[in-house]
Amino acid sequence: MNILINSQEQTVNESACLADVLTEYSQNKSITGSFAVALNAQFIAKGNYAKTTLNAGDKIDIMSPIAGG
Amino acid sequence: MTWSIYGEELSNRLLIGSALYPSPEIMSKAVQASGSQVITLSLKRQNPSEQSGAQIWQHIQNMGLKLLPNTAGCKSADEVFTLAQMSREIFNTDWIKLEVIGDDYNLQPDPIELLKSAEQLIGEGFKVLPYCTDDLVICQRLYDLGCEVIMPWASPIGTGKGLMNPYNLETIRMRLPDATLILDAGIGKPSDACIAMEMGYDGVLLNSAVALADDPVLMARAFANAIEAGSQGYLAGIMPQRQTAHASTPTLGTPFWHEQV
Repeated sequence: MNILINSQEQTVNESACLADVLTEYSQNKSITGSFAVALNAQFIAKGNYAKTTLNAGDKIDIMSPIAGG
Repeated sequence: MTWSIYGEELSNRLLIGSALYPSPEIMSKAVQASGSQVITLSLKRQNPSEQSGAQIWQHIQNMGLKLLPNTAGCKSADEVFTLAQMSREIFNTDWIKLEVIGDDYNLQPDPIELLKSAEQLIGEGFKVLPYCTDDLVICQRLYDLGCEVIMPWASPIGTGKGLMNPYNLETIRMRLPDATLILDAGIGKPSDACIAMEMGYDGVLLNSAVALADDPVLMARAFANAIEAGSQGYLAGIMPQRQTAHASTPTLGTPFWHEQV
């Protein structure tokens, strides 16, 4: 099935959970350092990655620290 | 003299931003020169091709300062809530600089979403530092909701226009004597910060004025001195203005040629 990660379309396994997708994505795209995740604009705590199932069309945002005022 | 934000005791009254510096190294030096104990930062989507965010984050971590993550870019209470929770997880702090923008032209906070958002975040255990306009009633409502710290703007973000409406800012100080007031946004020069402190503001939060200076490190030091001067001036008790002139030199014993015959 297809999902969006940071607005880029990705094809993932139908049975993949959020933890699986993040692991695969980090290997391909080099997620570095600290990050937090939202699924369909809802925050998902790190402890819940493994038990969060995904559906086609889901939107995942991976956010990291940047400078700010 | 020390002060506190949500029980966190601080000795320096300048809160400083981490953005817009010529380099992460200059940012670190400027922040150190400012003496600030609190630094603002943000979150954005990770882009593997951009490493600047990771570098800045590494520098910020190395400084060991209290972190104040913001919700820059949010336009609704729902967006704020998601970003605030992400910030809390990454930065391990309940502090959140609440920004909800209502207008893209002057980046003016949306008062309706701001109040909604503050209530929601406080309910979820956040310690909220709302960035708002210099509207007294909005400030009062935020304080009533439980925001111990209120951060009215001096002028729109990044303009450097200084205190657009000193009357409003003074009125907020007078009407909310127990609130911790931090002037946030629009500061351009050290004297702007000094004036705010002379009004009795508890602190100043700024970024562009230091980061965009020709010499950010020197400017950071200048702001630290200005804020210290303004704070001491306020604590010392500024003399009341008078309508007429009063000689400061004693008139008794003036030379004879001043005596009328």
